Amino acid sequence: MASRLENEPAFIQAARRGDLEAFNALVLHYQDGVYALAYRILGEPAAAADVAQETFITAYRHLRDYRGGSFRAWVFRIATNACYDELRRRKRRPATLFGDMPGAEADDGPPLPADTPSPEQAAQQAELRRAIERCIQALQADQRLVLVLSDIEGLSYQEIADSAGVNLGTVKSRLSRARAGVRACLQAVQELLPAVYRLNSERE
Amino acid sequence: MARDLTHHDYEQLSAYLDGDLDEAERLALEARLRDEPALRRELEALRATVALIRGLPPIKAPRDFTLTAQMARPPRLLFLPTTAAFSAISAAAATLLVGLGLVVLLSRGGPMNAPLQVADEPAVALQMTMPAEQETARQNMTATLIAATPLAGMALEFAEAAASAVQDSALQGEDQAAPADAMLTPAPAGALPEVAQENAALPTGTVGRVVGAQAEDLSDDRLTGTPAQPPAFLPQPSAAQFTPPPGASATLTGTPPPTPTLTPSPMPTPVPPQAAPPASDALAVVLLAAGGVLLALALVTTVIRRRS
Repeated sequence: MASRLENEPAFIQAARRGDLEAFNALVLHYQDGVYALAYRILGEPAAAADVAQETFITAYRHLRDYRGGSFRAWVFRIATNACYDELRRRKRRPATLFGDMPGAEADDGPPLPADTPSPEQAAQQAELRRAIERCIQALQADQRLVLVLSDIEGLSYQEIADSAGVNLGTVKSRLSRARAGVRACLQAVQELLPAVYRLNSERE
Repeated sequence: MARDLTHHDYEQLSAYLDGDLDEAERLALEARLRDEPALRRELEALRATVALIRGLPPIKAPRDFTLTAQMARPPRLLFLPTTAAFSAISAAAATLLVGLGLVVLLSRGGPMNAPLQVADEPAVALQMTMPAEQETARQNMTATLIAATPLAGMALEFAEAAASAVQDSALQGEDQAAPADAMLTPAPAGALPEVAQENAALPTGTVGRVVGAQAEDLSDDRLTGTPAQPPAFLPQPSAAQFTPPPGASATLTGTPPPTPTLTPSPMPTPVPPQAAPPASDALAVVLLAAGGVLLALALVTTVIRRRS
């Protein structure tokens, strides 16, 4: 995910001149990250796909506004804004989308999970994964965004600041609150979790 | 959980995990970690949490999001609501306001002795069966009036300024400033009439591109210089000469100005021209200006909608 695209500046230059093929090479490189970001923020595949598509259309149309620096952070910023737009839309008409809200569904995990371990462990791991996802979804949107950008997308603090449109201090503050929030949330469901998860710090 | 830990502590721990503390902070925290078991446990809990989050299976895009040539088509430049409803409502409201403005003007005695004709209108408008000749007659009158009345000229200037202000602020909302060379190039004096003519020829389709492409220059020009040709824009607000885009056309030409509610009281008693209070002039100016602004909005949003 964090791998660099060879010759990225050349692709960006060509795309700016209207070379759609070059731009689509960038799309192919970043689409997993953008989709994953949207999925983690919105918690729902259809909306995440819409946001991802919208993000690349917007990026193409505003390529001339890209002023160097991390292209990934620039694209993620567009995606972030699109996610916030979607969240605002939901707030305006919550009833229609309530069924889609993250955490509610149990079987709607992310598409194409990577590893496939042994039978019994698989069930436990799936449960753990869902617990983690629920806890991430339970965070405030601002904190969730920073957490996802940092610990799922692997962006640097500076890239997160650029993507989220906030300063470094805010990034650090939100990230620590988000991590502490997930930690507390997981603590609460600890009985569900296998021994992998040793956070019983209270009683030592 | 950690009752005695502050947000600052958590920030320090979080940054420590990311290796983001500077030397002094790191040493201070490590000293505390040696002395405070609670802090140490919390660090480990956070470390485990972050590891769990990072260990979530990666998510792949369910399909490719590459752009087709159609998706890649030109950018939106304005943050106006470009829905058909917005254009239609603007156009309808513009028609109403311009109609009211004309009624006010005519009621003080216009260049033609039109009061009688206008007085007929409310009844007809109510039945929605205005004969075509009467409709065109009214529109011609509208056009002539706008062309003839200096007040209307002022109103249009005002409308232009307001419209460009709207465009300008919309453009500023657009993330960072657009490239300076595009914004600052002063347009030749002839540019404005050209654009106006192209506006008038709207439905031909090429205009969308032109207007969109020039929107930045246009709005900038109107603010900074060459304000001297308001007549060039006359066709725009006049319902008779301007051929509206399909979306707006129904509202523009089909619905007569809903004057009935307001006209009955002033109309039946024709006032001698000299008796007109100056307040009615100001009122007419305001109405016409507002109508012009709304019509411009309807126009711009229609153009943008057709482009995207």
